[in-house]
Amino acid sequence: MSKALEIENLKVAFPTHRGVIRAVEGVSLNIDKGECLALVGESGCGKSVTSLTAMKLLDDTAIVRADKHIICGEDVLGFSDKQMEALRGRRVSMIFQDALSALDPVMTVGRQLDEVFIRHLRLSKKEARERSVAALAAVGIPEPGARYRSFPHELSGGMRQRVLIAMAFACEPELIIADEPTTALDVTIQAQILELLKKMQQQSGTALLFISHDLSVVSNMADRIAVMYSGKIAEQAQRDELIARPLHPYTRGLLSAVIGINDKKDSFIHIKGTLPDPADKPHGCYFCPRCSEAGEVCFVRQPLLKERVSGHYVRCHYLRCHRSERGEENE
Amino acid sequence: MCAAIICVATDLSGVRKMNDKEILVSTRGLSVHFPVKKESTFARRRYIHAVEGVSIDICKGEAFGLVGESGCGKSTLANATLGFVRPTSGEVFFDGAEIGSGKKAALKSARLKMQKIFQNPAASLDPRYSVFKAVSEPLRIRGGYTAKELENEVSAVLERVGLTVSDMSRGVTEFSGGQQQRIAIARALIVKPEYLVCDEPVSALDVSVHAQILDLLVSLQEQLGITYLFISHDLAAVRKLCGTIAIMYLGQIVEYGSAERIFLSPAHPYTRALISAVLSLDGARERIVLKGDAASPIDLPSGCAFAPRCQCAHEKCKSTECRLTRIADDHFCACPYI
Repeated sequence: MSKALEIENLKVAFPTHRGVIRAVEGVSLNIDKGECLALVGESGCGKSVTSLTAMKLLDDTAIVRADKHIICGEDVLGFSDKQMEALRGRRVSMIFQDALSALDPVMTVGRQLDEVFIRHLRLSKKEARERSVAALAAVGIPEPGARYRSFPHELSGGMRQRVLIAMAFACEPELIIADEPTTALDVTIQAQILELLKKMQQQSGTALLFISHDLSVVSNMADRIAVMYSGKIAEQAQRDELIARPLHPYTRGLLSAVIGINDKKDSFIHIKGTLPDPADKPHGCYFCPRCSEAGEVCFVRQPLLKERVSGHYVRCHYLRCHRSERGEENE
Repeated sequence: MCAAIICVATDLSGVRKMNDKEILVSTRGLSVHFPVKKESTFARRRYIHAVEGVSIDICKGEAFGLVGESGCGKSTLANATLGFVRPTSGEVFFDGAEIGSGKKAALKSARLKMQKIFQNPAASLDPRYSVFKAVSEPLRIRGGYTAKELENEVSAVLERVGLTVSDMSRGVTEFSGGQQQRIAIARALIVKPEYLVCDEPVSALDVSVHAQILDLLVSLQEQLGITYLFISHDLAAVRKLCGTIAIMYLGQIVEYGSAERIFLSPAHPYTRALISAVLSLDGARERIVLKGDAASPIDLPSGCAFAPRCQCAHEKCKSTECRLTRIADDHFCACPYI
C-alpha cells in the first residue's frame, strides 16, 4: 500500500539564548492511505512541532533535518515554499486547535471557504459559492446558506470547528493533520466533532494524523497510536494492542491518568514530575527521572526504539521483565 | 421558575441546616441577567438570561459540583455566590448573611472567607511576579504581617500544595501548567478560606496533570475541611471529587442531588447525554450524541430549554415549563418524563 506520509529520522532544533533546544530527535512516522495515526504526548513533548514540520510550516529559525520526507508520493525534502504551496490545501491540509484564531475574524466564513476553492481548484466565484454551501451542509451546519454569510464570532465553538473541518476536507486531500481539534471544546461538542471527523475520514478515505494529549480521545479515533515523550517516540503500536498491552512505563502512566467515569479508584494514579527541560535533557533515558521502574542502566544509556512484538515498537530497557510478568499473569 | 426548596430548617440558634449539616452558601431563586447592546436607540432592551431562578445549598465541608456546557451560566452562578455580580433577583446567603443585596459590610466580611481558582493559571498569574510575590499578595493586601511572618506563611502553604521553599524566588513563568496551577491554589489557600470556588481548574491542563491537581484538591479538603464549589464540564472529574452535584443547562438547574445517585441513575435526558459523552479507553460504549448547540440565552425557547436537543421530547415539552421536582430523597430533576 502506498503511503500518505513518510518521515524518517526527523530532527528539529531551535537555537535560543539558553542553548539549543532539541524539540524533535529522530522521529520516524509513516501513515498509510486512509489510515488514522494518533500522536500522543504531554504539552512540550514536540508533537505540534512534528506536525508543523510535516507540513514544512516552521520558519527559518528552526533547524530541520530529515533523512526522508515524502508527502503523498512527492519527495518534499528539497521543495521550495512555492512548491509546498501547491501541495498544501490541495493535497494536504490542517485542522487547528483554536478555530477562533485559525479563522479570519473580519471575513465571513463563506468567503474563507470560497477562497479554498478559488485558490486550489480555480473555480469561479459562483461555483465556489455553491461548493462552499454544500461543504457547510456536509459537516452538519444547519441553514448552510445563512451561515455562509456569518462571521466567525457569530458561530459557537463547535460550529467554528465544523467550518475548519469543512475547509480541511474541501479539496478532498490525501492527508489531513489535525492538531488537538477538540481540546478547546466541551465534552458534548467534543463527541459531536469526533463523530464528524470519523465519518468524513471514512467517506473520503483521507489519511489522518491526529494529535492529542488525551488517550481517551485518541482511542476513539485512531487505527495506530504513537506515544511521544520529550522529542522521541516512546511507543508505537496498533490501537487495541497499545491500550490492552502498553509496554512503556510512560504509556501505562498516561493510560491510568485517564479518569474513567465508572472506575472506582480511590485516588488517582499519576505520573510524578514534569517533562525534562528541553535545553537540559537527562543522560540516559529521558523518562528515567519520572519512571518508577528505572534501573541503573536507564540513567546511563539511551534505549532504542525496538520492535518487541510484531508492529509494536517500544523504547525501554526493561521490557523483558514486564513481558515475563505478564506471561505469569496469563498462566 | 425551578425553585427547589429543600428541607431547610432554621433551628433556634438561627444556623441554617440541611440533613443536620450546616449550610455555608445558599441561593434562593437567584437570577442574573445581563443587558445586551441595543441594535438601535428605539429597540427594546434585551437581556442574556445567564442564571434563571436557581436555588442551591452548599453545606460546610462538602464539595459541590456544578456541571454544564460553556455558556450555561455556571461561572456566573459561582460569581454571584462570591458577590462578584449583583443578582437581578433572588438572594444569596453566605454563612447566614445576605450578601447579594449590595450591603458592603456583609460582603466585605464574607469575602475574607472566600477564594477562587481560575481555569488558566498562565493567565491568572502575573508573569512578572516571583512565586513569593504572587503567593504572598493576598496577605500583603490584607496587611498586618511582618516580612518574616509572610515568608513563614508562604513556605508553609507552598509545602502544602507540593512545591518546595526553594521555588519561592523563581518567576511564575518558569513553571509548567500543572505547577502554575499549584501556585494559584497556594495563593488562594494562604488566606485560609472557608469557601473555595474552582472554576474549571484542570480544563487548561494536560490529561496527565489532571489527576495530580484533582488529588491535591481532595487531600486539601481532607486536611483543611474547605467547602468547594467545583465547576467543570468533565463529569468524570466531578464524580471523583464531589458529594453533591447540580447539572445546569441554559441558566437553570436541570438535575440536582447526591453524586452517587445521579451517576447511578441519571434522570434528566441531558445528564444522560453528558455522562455518555465522557470518553472511555475501550471506545465501544454506545454514545448519545446531542444534536446542535444550546439555544441562545437571549431568546430562551418557551417551555423546556432542552427540548430542541432532547431525544425524548414530547409535544408538551415545548409549551410547558419544567420545575425541579423531588424524585428521591436527595435527588431532584426538572424533567417530568422520566
